[in-house]
Amino acid sequence: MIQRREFNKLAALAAASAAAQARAQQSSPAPKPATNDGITWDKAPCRFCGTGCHVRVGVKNDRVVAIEGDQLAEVNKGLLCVKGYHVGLALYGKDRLTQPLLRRNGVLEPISWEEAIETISQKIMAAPEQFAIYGSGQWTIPEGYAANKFIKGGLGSNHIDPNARLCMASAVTGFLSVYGVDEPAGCYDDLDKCDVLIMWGNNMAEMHPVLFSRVMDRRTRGEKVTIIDLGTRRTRTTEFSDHYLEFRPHSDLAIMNGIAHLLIKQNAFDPKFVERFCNFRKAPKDPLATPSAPLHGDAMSFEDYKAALEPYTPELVEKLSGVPAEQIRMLAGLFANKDIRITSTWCMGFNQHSRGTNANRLCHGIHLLSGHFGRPGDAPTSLTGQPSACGTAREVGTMCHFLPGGRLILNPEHRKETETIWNVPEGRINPKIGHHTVLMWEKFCTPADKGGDIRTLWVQVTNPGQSLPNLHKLFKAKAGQPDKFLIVSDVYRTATTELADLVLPSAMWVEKNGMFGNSERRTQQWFRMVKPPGDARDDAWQMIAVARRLHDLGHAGMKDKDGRFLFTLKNDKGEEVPVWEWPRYYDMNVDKALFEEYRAFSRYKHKDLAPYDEYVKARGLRWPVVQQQDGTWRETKFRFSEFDDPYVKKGAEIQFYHSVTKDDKALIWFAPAEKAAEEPDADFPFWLCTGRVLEHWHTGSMTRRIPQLHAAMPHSYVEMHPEDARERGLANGETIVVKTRRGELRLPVWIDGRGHPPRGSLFIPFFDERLMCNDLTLGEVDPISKEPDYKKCAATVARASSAP
Amino acid sequence: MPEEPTKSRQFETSLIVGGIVVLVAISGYFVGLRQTTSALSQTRAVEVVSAETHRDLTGAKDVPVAVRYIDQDWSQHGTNAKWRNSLVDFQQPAAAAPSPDKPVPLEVKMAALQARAGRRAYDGAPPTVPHPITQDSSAACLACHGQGLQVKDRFASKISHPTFGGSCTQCHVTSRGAFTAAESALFAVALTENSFQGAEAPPNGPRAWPGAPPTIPHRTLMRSDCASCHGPKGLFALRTPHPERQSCTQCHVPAAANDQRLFMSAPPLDAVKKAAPIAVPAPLAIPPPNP
Repeated sequence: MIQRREFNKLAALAAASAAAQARAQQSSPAPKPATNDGITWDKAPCRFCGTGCHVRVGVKNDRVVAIEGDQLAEVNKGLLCVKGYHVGLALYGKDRLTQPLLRRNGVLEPISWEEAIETISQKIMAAPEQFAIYGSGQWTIPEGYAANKFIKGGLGSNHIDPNARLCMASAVTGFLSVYGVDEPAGCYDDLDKCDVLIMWGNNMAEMHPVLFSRVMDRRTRGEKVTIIDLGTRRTRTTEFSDHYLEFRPHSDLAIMNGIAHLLIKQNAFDPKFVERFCNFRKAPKDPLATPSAPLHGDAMSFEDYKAALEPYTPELVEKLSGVPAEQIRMLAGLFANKDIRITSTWCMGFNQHSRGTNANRLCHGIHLLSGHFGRPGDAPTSLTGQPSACGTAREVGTMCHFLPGGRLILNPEHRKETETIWNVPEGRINPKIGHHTVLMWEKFCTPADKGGDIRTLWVQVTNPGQSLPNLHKLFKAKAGQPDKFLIVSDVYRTATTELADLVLPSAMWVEKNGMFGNSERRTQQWFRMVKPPGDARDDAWQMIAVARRLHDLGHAGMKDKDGRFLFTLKNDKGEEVPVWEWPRYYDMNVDKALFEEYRAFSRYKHKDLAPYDEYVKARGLRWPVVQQQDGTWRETKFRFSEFDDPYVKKGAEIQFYHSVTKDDKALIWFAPAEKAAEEPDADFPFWLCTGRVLEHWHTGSMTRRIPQLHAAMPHSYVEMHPEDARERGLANGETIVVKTRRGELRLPVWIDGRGHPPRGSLFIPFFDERLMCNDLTLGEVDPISKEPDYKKCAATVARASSAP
Repeated sequence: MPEEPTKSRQFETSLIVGGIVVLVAISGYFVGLRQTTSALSQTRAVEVVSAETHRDLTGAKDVPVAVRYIDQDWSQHGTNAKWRNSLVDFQQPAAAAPSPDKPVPLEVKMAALQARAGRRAYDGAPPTVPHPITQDSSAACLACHGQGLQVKDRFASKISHPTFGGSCTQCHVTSRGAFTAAESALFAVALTENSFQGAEAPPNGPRAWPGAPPTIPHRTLMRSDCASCHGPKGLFALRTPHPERQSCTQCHVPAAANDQRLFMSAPPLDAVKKAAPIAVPAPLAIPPPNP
């Protein structure tokens, strides 16, 4: 009986993978069994944020017609947010780009794909070292991998950086300098187990609604969870919180030092945990001593650490942050209690911070110091904003200083390993770090004779014309420079295509095969379900087609050691397929071939990935995914903890096996509270903070074309405290001018609307391409992560009518 | 004696009158207690930037003063002010709820489904909210939608997924915008059209024979409380003719093809799909309205 059931199950499995194989290689979406209403359903991760919900996509007559939360997905358990429920509509804005467009005499005119590929190839051939790629945390894993290999392994250049630099670079430097390896140790399961959830400058109710509901629904079921919101303005999240601690912008560093101070003063830290698993660090005396000096820091004794924290009394912290000493004591009291489990989450509040690396470090630090680490529910966890910031930007390493799998450009051994896997000659990979995002755009916008050494820039799957800070300097300055050539692959016209010289129409989401990696180390896979509109094509194909054209034009870098084309891809039968010819692209599963090649990189930092086919069967798997004795593949929920992580030694309990100090210990950093890069003064008396809203995803290029979302949030606004408005005689809804040292913006003021900033504080969301708050933002970067601060600068307001 | 009965009647009358007065007074007292709500809950919380407001709540100048009754006219200004103030314009219900001897004609039902579809991108999408909402909190949603509410021909539908009780605005956004029409006209960019065509709600569920209980024709994820649409606060045409019977799935079974949780132990998607169609009979012709 049991045998028979097992047999049936195996048969079903075999049939399933065979069918999946067949589907993946079809050049058109394969027919699948339809339900009685003619709709066929398939799984895919949501296109939008980094939560990584799985949706079921309902397809009928080659069009997406319905979306459902996937109940088999552990992340969302059948629930979605309003963006997720409407994600299918993102494909059907009537102004989808359907053919390549080249700017001639200032006008974008249709051209053929051959012409487009030829144009790009000629531009690169003319000056390969002045070519750069600006990519995205929305690239699928294989797309990012193809771009990374093309430029680093083919062109021998490291001028590639993703928009993820603008959103989680500080989280990366935080993880690297504390644990020696990137990405959270915990996962979303912590949200099911924690007694206390602390959200550090993190409006989870709007930005990660499904995760927020995962906690709120525990309350509905009668469980007790204490919710603490630390913020610089009241939000929807505040409404659900037990405690709201409002702090002065940038003073989060002081608050965390205050907690550490009290833990030590009251002898309430966890000496056993600290003794066994931690070392202490401070910023290096000479940050330029070695390239990794800022990440490794200088050793510091516990006594030194104690002394450094000495000044951060609750009273001083109150003075710096505005949070009452009592509340600081309350927070410290929670960390002092080992019987409760505390999960910290953060997102852009810590990361888009001119001391973002330090903010990340200090948060890990108080968890380590108090021993609130390594048990389910006890975790410091950063959340990401893009669906594959972790998978593509961080793990594939599409950044200017990374190689795949957590390797570094500056490390000769890492370069050599990478060259071996790519089978390219030794020395092919350039040992010099490329330009990070802000520098890349600065160089692109600067004339060549003034040191602007980037001439051709290819943007894929992102909208920097709206999302970069200080747009006048970093983007708009490109206008009127005929020797600068901007290539943009996208699905709609955006603020970026406004200045593009060549626009390429891309396939999106379920119009192509794909893989994403979410915030909790979960790698996800989906198949193409519908055909892209018109002549839109996959981003990875675009990259490979250009590589092939360069190969044919004689660029030596496009060949490996054995003289074979860099992207020589074979189908499951071992036959080579010329995938650079678009009609042949889906004759094999290019995603699978690229992923299997990339997988070889994943074991070095113990970020082990399973074979492609395992992801076909699963709703994502969290790395390290390790093969068991019986041949099955097991994911890891809690990294560094012996009870779950197979790489931890028996008996170690907790082992930081990529420790910076090579002794299996994590680093607790001291970092001082510092002032923001620009603070309010007499001329610019307001703090200006920017961010997101529930209805729109980032620059809104997709969500603003979805009628339901557009109707709910049709345009941007500036939030202001009612007293500030009253003093200036401003009425709700009135048009005002917000001005900073970099620009000005006219938009309506919204008092007591979605959020409530305190006195002297403004907030503008960044989704609206007509009301672009990044004309105002400062763009000061964290010195270690190079991530800009979008959350703090000085501004002033005036009535629109009285403004000059 | 004639005086005697008159006296006792007077006594009886005064006893009744006195009793009524006392009863009215007592119940009035308690009713009054219940209705005296504080307007504090309608005001914004204190801004907490300064430490003083935290520590010293007595005598601090920032502490909100109790709002006077005359200032409590929030219903004139709240997000739903227009909605509330137009109650008089609502019509008496034109249609009557279905009953066992008066089934709903198909075209009436289709019209109701059409109305329902107007607020959804596709069948199964979370409906948008047809009135303005409080932007910063979901706290008030369940006041009307927790149990459902009817005022003349207007209905606040009952929540269909009570276990997700918290963050309503996570899925339900208003179709009436966050701003006034004038502001939106000034600032909102005209939206490019969207050519998405959502799946439509299936009509009647198939029946094994005329008169048999129909199976549930639609998916039931997030629609676990049937009463939300089919109960006494649902659209007339969609209501059950037998609201007194509470255990819907005793007679009306969901189609297995619509249950995505089937075969949990066998994760491969295709295995799920292959197995799914077992319980789906071919849809039968829609039975005549009066069997």
